[in-house]
Amino acid sequence: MRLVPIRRPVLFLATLAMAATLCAEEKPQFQYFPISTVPDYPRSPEKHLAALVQRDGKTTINHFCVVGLRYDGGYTAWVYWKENNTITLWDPPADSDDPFTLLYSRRTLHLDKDVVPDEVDISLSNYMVHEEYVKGILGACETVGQKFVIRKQPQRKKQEKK
Amino acid sequence: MTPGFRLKKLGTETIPETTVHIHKKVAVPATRTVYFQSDWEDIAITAPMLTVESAPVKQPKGYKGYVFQLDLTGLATGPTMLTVRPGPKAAAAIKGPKPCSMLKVTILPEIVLPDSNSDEGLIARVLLHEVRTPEYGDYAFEEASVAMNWARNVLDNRRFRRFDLFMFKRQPSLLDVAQKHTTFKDKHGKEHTLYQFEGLGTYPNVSAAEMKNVGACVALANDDSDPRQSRYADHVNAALGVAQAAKAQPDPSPHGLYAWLTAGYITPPGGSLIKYGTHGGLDFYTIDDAAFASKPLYGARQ
Repeated sequence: MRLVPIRRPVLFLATLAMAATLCAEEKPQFQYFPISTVPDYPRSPEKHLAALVQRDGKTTINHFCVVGLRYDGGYTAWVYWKENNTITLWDPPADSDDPFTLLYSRRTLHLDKDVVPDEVDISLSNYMVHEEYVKGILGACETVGQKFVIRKQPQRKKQEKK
Repeated sequence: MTPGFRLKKLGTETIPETTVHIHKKVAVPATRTVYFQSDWEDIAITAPMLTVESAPVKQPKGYKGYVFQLDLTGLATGPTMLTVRPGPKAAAAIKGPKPCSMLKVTILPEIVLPDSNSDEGLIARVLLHEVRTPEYGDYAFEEASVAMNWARNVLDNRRFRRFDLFMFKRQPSLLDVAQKHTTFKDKHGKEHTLYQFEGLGTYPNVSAAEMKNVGACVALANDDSDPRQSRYADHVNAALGVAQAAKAQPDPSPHGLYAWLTAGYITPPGGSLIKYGTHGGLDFYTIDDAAFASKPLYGARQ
């Protein structure tokens, strides 16, 4: 047997390897919330966002929206960065004052390449999301999300040693 | 004044600590700085396995006594003792037995990841990239350890058990598993490259930025001046233990674990993959009965 080009390995797995129905699992329930309502997150995340901007910012003015996401078994947050066209996972930090968890997040998704149209397109990827999911986050920005504008500060020139 | 060691230079804030025995890891070849305060004008230092550079530190206004900055550099690994006694000038002014202060120092080897071209190096980096680190509020070392072991199960199962279900005709290498990707055009005609594991499509050619959290974990594990150091050292060492083990721990699920997804994502992998459990910020998936019972397509063993 030869493998034909397979776009969806799970579909392939489902149809070829057994007589199972696709995706019988129900979608997990989750809710969006403002991160200011959870003590784990800083009340004023500007400092954390500024650290991100200083490191990864490409423009002087940067627009962010932060939205919390409660899911079955826990909660997290997504940080949408308009200019970089990314969403960054911000898991609740142990120390709300410490920008580490945002700066060194384990997931930063680029909306131009890490988003597929439909849920089934994600197949075996461990990080990709689908359009509906992103739409949900961006929609929540307008309702419960907190918006910030962060200006990138000019880099200080290192003083030359005389 | 009672002579004593400090981890911070005396500043305007008073550190009411008089501890003279401190266990502290020193990464070789990194230098660790401690401070010693006393009313001794000069000091004499004995420190096997260490080179110690000492210098008096400017004292804050109104502070009576002397503060010395001691930069310790480990020369070999193991436990040792730093002893500080009054120097010749100070000793001359002390009648009777001369006091001394001792500081226990443990010199540990620097924590490094295995070569990125090795299987161990790949696994260690994946584990550190994916599993929640001590920085997170709900971090528990035990949880992280379970997640690391389960992630190893996933990688091993895709490689050895049912590689046919993951688009391999023959047993793949670990690198094959890590780099696996497909390209397809979506309904809008846009072409996508779909990687099974984030950031690994071109491994080991991965930019530092893509795996920045891995580098940060290792740096913190070696940074003795950071209060988080020991938790990160435990975390990184746990990843190294899982990565370097000849065999994975027994798979907890009857059909085997075959995937993980960052907890909190709305989308389960779907198809025959069903959620088995959540640990360390990752949702793990096994395969259903039908997939498990299916005949391997290319001679993969179960």
